[in-house]
Amino acid sequence: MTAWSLVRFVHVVGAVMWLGGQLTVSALVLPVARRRLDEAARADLMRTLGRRLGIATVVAFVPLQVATGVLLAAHKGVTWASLADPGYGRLLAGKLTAFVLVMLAAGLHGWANGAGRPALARALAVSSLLGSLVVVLLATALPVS
Amino acid sequence: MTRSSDVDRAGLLGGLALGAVMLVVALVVAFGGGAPPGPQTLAVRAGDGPRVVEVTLVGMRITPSVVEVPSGTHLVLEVTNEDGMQHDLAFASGPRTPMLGGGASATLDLGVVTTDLDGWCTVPGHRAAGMTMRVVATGGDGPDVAGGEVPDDGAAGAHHGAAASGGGLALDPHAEPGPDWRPYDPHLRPAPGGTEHRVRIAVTDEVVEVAPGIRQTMWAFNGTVPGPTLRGAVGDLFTVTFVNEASTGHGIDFHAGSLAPDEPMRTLDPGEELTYQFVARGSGAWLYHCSTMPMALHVANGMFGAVIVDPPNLPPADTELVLVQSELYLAAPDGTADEAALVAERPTAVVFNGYADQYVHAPIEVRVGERVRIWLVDAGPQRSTSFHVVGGQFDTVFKEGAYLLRPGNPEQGLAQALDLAPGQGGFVELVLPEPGRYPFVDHAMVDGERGARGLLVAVP
Repeated sequence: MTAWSLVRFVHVVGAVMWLGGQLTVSALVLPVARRRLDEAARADLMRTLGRRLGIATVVAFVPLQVATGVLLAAHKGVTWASLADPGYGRLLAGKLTAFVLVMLAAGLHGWANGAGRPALARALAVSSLLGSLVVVLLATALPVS
Repeated sequence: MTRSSDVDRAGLLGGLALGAVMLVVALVVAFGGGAPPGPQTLAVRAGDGPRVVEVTLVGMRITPSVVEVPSGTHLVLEVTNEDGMQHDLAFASGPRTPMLGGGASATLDLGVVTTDLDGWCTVPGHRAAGMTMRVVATGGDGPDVAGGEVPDDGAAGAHHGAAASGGGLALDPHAEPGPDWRPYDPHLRPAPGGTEHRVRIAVTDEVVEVAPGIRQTMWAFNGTVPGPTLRGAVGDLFTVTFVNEASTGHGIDFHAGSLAPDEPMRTLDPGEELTYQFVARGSGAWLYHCSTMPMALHVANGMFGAVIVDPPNLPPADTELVLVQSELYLAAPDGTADEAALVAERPTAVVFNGYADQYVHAPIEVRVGERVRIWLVDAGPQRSTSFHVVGGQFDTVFKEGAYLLRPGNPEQGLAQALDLAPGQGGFVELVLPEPGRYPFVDHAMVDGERGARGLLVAVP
């Protein structure tokens, strides 16, 4: 148990909360809201939840994940050049690519909602969720040593 | 609500499609394209003026490893060392870069290429590890127009062969040590007081006598082979200032401590130093050695020593000795270890404390009836030992952290030899029963007879 355990802990917990937040909203709240609430109340609830998740993402999640991720990578000796190396470097590069795509999708999801494009907004939300799973998949695939 | 369910379906399908795209993109980045670089051949086309080729030195490889140029081409190499350690590039025909630190570059003009040229990194061991490249002259009558200036392959091969044959150096069983020779003191002093030990270990290039009449360039810790013996008790803190004052990169690895090797065992360029701190958590006779690749070569060049960590309540002995066994792969006089013989595992000599038949030439005197404890470490780099005292029997054997035998054991057992693989250590104790000369040997007899022997002389 070192300070690095703590950094890793924060990074993992951040990922858990981001993915968990999306899953909770999409898989738990949304179906229940559809059954229990009228359209106006539901839209209001979902908009509020979406905005709060978005604010938490921008204010806390992204800075924390980037900071802890950069620290962990630096501690492991990752350099820009080593991201091109097969194995750890390329897996990490793939994970970072997926992360950037997920953040793009999440951001566009907020925009699409505001712009009154529900089909696009929903597509972006689903892809953000799936992309997050890809990030986690590649994270677990990173060699330990 | 048809419209709403349409929106839902479209959104779901679109999201699945986008998610699949993310998966594919991430997987392509992670696994796609670009196989790891293997042997690379770069073909250079003829053209006006010098042709410039970029060459990188990294990871014990020179890339590209083969450059093909039409015979008669003026070839210039832009050489960059992208590694963390020092490299250079030298050609048998003469041109060579200066020693390049990490990130440094140099331009190497090979002139007009009319014949094949062999190049390699001259840092010891790197050529054997694969840091070679070849310039191939195509299309010309290369060897015919080579002239006398550029050695052909045969000459380059012969050059390598001379090194490989070790210059014909062999042990002379009748030779005597030189007048300046001083034996390595085998006596082990008690651990200094205190629970903290500070020591400075500097590695230098030293020409030392390693067998009667034979001097070699050794990479020595504090000027001796083996390096200084450290001693302490379980729980002691060792703080080692390690300084590289030699001409090539070196590192250090203490088996007596447990830590992440990344930083403390890294390779230091000449002039650098680091602090290596470890707590001796366990008793034993521990090896320390150079941590720079190829380690076999660095150890064969003398980069090893012992750390003795006493077991708690170690009974006192009258005489304590420390012997570190290692191999010598003799090269040309004053040279460093013969890499070809090393790779072939054909040592010229196997020695205790760095010198062939050392304690035959300088016997160790002990008293009849006193308890002699002999600490042993096998530094290798490759050969095990079976330590035996002719005419003696061990009543105590401690190997790799445990007593295998102690006096008063119910079996009334005694032992004849302590076997250690490279990188292991232990001690034996015995009492010599009467005056006389008791040889001690590596009972792997071929090794014993090529230098791994000495004499205990018991006096009343």
